[in-house]
Amino acid sequence: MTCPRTEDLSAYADQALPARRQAALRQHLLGCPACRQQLDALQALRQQLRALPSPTLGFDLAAQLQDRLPRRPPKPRRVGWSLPNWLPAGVATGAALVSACGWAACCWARARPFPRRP
Amino acid sequence: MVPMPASSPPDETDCIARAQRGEAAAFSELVTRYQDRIYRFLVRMTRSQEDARELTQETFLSAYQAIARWRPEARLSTWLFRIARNQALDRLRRARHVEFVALDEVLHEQLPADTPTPEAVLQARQRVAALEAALARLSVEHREILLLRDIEDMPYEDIAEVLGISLGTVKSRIARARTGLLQHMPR
Repeated sequence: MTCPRTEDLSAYADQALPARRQAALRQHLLGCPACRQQLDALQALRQQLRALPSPTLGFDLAAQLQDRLPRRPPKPRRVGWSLPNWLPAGVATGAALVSACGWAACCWARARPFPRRP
Repeated sequence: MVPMPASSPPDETDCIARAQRGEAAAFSELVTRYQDRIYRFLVRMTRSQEDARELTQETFLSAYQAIARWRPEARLSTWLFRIARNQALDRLRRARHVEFVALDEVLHEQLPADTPTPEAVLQARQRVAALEAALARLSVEHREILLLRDIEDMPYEDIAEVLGISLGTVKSRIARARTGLLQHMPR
């Protein structure tokens, strides 16, 4: 196996390569001091980053947010007219269709007045 | 908001569902769980404690506004980090100048307790300072991915989710970021 790219060594350090590739690289590293040195540098860097101090916020954010949050989280916005949430979806659709037909019928009736009785 | 009584941590999905129904205590629990992780990420992204404090609050306010739309297919941590990251990028874009704040001056008090001698303490501070300075000099793109991988210990799949990039790009970008960081480190 030829020397891997730095990208593969970096992923190897994270154990993020497919199992077969990970195993092949492990074999290569046993016999390649240059790659071993490069991997050591990457792993040392990872360790140093992990060992950095971990700053904390230093106060109870939940308590601080208490006054800034509305009582209930707002529901997602709906565009246009909508039926009450408690109606099942099928009933809501049917009701909307009936309403639309009724409105259309009403408009047609107004446009064509009843004939006057003699 | 009323803090939850001390007990074993509730299942996170259940906690989110209760927060979505408007239970303030449940959202409180989520804030408490994640506030320090989000702050830790933001303070190194923005290189400003003040900005990081403010943006941590904004992250959770945005999360509260959007929590009704959260779906269990997305991990809460990646969702929160995506919000935080966007907050940081907006702030960095609006910044008129880049001001490097020596974070090590604040962080040195958090050095491990097992460094008894003054020389050891000084060396530890210098190592931390050098690494923090090198991290701050990286591009935003490289800094954020190293923060997520090596400090937040996120798997590649979660990083891809947070940054909106492919796994292949995660792999190559992490490698370039590490190479770049090594180049900025003192020999």
